Amino acid sequence: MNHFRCHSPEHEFSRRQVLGTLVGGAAGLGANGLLNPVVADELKSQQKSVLLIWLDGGISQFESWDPKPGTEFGGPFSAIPTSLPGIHVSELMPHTAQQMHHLSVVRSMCTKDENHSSGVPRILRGDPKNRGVTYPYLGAAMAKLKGDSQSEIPNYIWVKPGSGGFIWQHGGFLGAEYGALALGDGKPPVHINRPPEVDDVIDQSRNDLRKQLNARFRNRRRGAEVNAYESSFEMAEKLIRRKDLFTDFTPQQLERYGSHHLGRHILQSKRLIEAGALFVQCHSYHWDTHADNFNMHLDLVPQIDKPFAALIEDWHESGMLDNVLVLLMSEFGRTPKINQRMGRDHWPEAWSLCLAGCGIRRGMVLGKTTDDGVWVDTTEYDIGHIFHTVFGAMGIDSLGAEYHYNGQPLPIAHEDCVPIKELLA
Amino acid sequence: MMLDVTKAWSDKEIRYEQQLTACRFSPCGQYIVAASLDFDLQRWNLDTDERTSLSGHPTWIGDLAFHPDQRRLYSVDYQGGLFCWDYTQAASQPLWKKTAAHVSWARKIAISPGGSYVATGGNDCVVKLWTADGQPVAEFPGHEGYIFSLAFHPDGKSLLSGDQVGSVRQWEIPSGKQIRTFDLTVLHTRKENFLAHVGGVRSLAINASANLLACGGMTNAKSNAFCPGDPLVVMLNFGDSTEKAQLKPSQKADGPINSMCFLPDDTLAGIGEGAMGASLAFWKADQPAPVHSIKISSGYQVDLHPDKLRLAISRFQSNGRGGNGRHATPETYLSNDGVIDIYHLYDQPAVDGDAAT
Amino acid sequence: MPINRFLFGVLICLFSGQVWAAGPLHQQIDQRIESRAGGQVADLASDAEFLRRVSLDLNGIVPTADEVRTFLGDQGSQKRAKLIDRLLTAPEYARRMREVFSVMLLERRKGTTVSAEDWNRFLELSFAQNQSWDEFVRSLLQADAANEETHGSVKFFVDGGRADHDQMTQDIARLFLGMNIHCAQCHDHPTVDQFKQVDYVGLMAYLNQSVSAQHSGLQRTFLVENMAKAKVEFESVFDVGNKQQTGPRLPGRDEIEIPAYEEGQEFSEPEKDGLPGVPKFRPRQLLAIQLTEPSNQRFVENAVNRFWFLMMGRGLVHPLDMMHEKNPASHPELLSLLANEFVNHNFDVKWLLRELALSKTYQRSSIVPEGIEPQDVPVESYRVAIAKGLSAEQTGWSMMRVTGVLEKVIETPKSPDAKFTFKDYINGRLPLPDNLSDTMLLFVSVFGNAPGQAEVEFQPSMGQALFLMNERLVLQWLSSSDGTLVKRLESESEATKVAEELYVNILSRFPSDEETAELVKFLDQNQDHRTDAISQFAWAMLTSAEFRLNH
Repeated sequence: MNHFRCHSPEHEFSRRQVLGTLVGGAAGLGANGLLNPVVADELKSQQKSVLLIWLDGGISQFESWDPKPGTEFGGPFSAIPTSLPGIHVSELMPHTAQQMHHLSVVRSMCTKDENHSSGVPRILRGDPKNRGVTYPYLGAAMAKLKGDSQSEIPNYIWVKPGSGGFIWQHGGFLGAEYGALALGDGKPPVHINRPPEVDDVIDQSRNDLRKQLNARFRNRRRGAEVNAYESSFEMAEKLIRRKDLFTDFTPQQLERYGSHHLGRHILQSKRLIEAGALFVQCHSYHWDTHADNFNMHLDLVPQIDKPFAALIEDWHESGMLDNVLVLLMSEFGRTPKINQRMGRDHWPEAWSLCLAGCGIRRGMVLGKTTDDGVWVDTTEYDIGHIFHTVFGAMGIDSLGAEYHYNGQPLPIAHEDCVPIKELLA
Repeated sequence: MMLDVTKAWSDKEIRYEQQLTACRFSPCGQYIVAASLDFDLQRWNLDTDERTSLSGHPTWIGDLAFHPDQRRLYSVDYQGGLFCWDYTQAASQPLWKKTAAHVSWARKIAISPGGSYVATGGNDCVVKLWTADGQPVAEFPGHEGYIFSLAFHPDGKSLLSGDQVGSVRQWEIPSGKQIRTFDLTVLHTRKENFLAHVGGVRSLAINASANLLACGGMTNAKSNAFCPGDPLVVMLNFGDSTEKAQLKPSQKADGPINSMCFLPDDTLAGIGEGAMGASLAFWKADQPAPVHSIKISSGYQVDLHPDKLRLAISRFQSNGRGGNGRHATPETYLSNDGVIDIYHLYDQPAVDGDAAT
Repeated sequence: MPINRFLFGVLICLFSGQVWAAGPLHQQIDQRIESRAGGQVADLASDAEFLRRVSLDLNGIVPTADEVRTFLGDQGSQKRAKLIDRLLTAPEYARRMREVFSVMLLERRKGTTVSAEDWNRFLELSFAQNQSWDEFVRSLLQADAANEETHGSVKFFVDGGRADHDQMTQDIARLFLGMNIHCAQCHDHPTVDQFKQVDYVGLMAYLNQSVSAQHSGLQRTFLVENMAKAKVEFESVFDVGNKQQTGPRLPGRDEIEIPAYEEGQEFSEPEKDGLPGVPKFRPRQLLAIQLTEPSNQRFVENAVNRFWFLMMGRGLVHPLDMMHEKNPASHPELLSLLANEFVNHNFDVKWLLRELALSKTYQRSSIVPEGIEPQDVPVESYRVAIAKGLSAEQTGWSMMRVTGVLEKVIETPKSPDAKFTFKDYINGRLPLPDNLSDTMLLFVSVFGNAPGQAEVEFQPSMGQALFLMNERLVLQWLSSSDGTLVKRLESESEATKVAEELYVNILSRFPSDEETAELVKFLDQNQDHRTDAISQFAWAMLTSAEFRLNH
């Protein structure tokens, strides 16, 4: 009754099927987005997941990971020692300073795009070489490479302020079904509760009918719109089954993480990861302090410092940190030069980000900037290096694995970059 | 010389290799002192142009103020320090300092007209009162946002303070009793998706006869990122707290009015910030549009010379290309400069030296 | 002048070696599309497909079951052309255009300075009278609040954050010139060479004197203009210190001189009724005229591009607000042709829509020819029809119609003191909406985009899926209650008739034999709760991709 087509969601291969078919050397199944990976054996082992905390706009590296107090561009804030001897961070991050021995900080990021509208998607897609295809966001890529379509938690969830929805564009050439399930304010959509007149039996029956009709409709039609529509229902069904993931937080949790949006959203992200989500992206906006950079960072940095430190500490204590790769970053850093609104502008030339957890070495700082903080003084790393490293930490051979799109093999990360060995445990 | 702001002219530009923020004339009229972002105070002799640095602050200086005794200068910094200097001396050691006068940033300082009291305020939201020798006198808690502005009443018996969330309070000196509060929430914006407060009461000014209170800042901010808003001065009738007028610059700018001062004829001079420039504006207390306006780059402070005929402003001066990204080599990437302009507020004399009437 | 442009166009065609036969526009469209198709094109859509598609596009709602039967049964050779004409003259045409252009122009932004009723009246009147497009845009930009019929036009400027001159500038550039110049406010556009900061500031110079003022007599908001005295100064944040200036200037055109008047001579009318004096020099009025001139290539091409998008599902230039050299049209000659012809026909909107609807390009099926993989057919080839998502309004109207509740909802009056908000409703503080206004508000809240987000791509959300699954109103419409389709079918004993009724009503077509058999079997298996089974099947159809898409 169902008319399967290779690009339809029903025809999603499980990882084992993919391995089974391709280990024998078959050239791929000729369908878009299918994988020809050479993956590590640990695929079948314990569930690993990724939490990406994204500070949109560009947190200032001077006011966070790479302070340069008393120098030409250093600004007014001082530096404080951390739990890593010899390493200092900005005074604005006292809690994270105590967790530095769990973290790896890269201070030598040097990327190319200084604009948000182009820069943010470029960074989140790994800034691959331009081949006329739209690469997937990191979360969509991870959902493809390691996702389990049978998982009861959606593979790629986006916890963000504002409105939610299904953002199919993140899927890029992998297809709409790899898009992000965005939860506005971290909350589930309102209609998550089924009315009493619809019981399990009826729900199953009517949805089976719906899928049947869609399968027939899809026959010899372009799949993109139908797939996107079907995915929205699949997400809905999954979410309904896991309503328990959205109960209120306890006063203790809010006290520890903070009741501001980023505190609550990190708490929600933590809960989703612990429930089995493969990739959660936790977004905070308005870090782009072109004006009043110092007043603003004074008030903004504590909003990430407190919950991030709590998260690392809690996950270390529970052992989760061994299974979750945490990535804390923006799309670039901020200019050393202070502008005419006491602000800092965009600075992709030299900035910092933080990695922790699964597959990542604990307690190190990689790379240096010059004494005045303006340029990278050691090996420069692009976002491609970070993608390789993240894939590597998750047990994926980023150099060997390939996507197939319209018959064209495509690297999963920028082919001029490699994993950063020093960061991998 | 007749005060006539519409004829204002400048013949002096002092430039420094780091941005200059707070700046004031010394009461003797001989010096101008400004805070530079390299943690120092820069003192210029107005006649000789000689510059001396007063070093000692461990971080940015928030504000500075002179004692009427024509000897002492006070400054506060972003680690909560309060310093006192003998500015007449070349030596750069402060006379005394209190490194933790405030918790976190000390942003503003004001000296009572007779010189008996020093008032400071900052991020701990407490106005603190000191003797001229730095002995603590009283603390006035109550503000719910960082203190952004201070101004003594001309009679020295009360003090006004303005904060980040749009509250202005009048305190009895030295008891600290709250006499009045003023609602200036029009100068504060925090929309639901903002991560922080934007705006605030950045500047306060009272005229000599104490019937006018000007509150400067910006309204209608759109984000906490670029922080663009509409610069605004709310002019109040000080006696009954009613609003007299809302003064706006005529030059388009997107930042707050950072500093204001009244001229002897109750004209208000005000200066503000702007990503693409701003203005030095002169207003009559009851007219929304300035009577005169001079386009400048983004500005931080305006101060009236003791002779009441000259004005100093500190403003931003770019050094090389700015904006996002590199646009420079390591050799040419330098911090932006600061400038002080001295304006004469009367008609420029004719070339042969005769003063205009 | 239009005639010259036509000759010019012909010359270009001749020189380019391509000679097109003259003929109605829809034929010329098809020639150009087919010559670049690059592969086999789909068959024409079936009558049922076509009827549903054109009803949605021109009247904003799916056809009734009667209309389906009549059209499919009609043997006349001109039936498609006649259908198009009927739809263009129906009152639903003006309503549909109002819905489309309200969303395009206001982007669902909030604001109540001007009432929605006044704004809707302005739009509907324009489309009902088939006002020419250039006149419409002129009257929108003039925003004449004194005009009794069109004063709602002021809403474009005063509500939804457009009181801000930057927002005004950006939106007018996007909507009428196909230029997204948001990033050219502080410097030349970083990635589009053709969009310069001077374009931004020049356009803003037409607008930055416009402010709202309250007319004391009419109690209405006017958009007045203050006196423009000087050019606007600007400098790039990347080039601080290099000050430039410009007066009002449309992109690619000459700057307008700001006239100098003698003191006291600047006004043509003094202050009155709480409004300031009317200056002699009114740049926004000039913009209304200059922007809409036939010689303003960008304006004309943007207009036809958007009407093309409305009917075909994709702009010839896509995205719609990125018309620049590095993002050329998929069919540049066709775009020029449409622009020329639109001018030649005095910006006649109905004429253009008719021609588009008559084309084979429009009438093509969304089913890919046998032997070709759907993903191998590029969207911009138009070899196959592009599926469009239903707008929030189309969804609301269509769902009400097919479930049989439309008449009742329209007839139910809204209680004047009962306030209905989406937030209150979804938090369980209000009963089910029963009147048109509240019901449409609910559908717009669920299926419309967030304020400020243009509605261009089909973006189905999980929240909408949950609504379709769990919203009690939808379930009520599918239950056996007064006047619903399900109630009617409850008393229909013949299963094959039930199948036909469901398909004709909900999906606007007859079922295939396989589909009939499937439904009959389903009803058979569920004899003891037959009504429920009908309801379930109806739900599945209502929530299927076939219903949700305009294909």
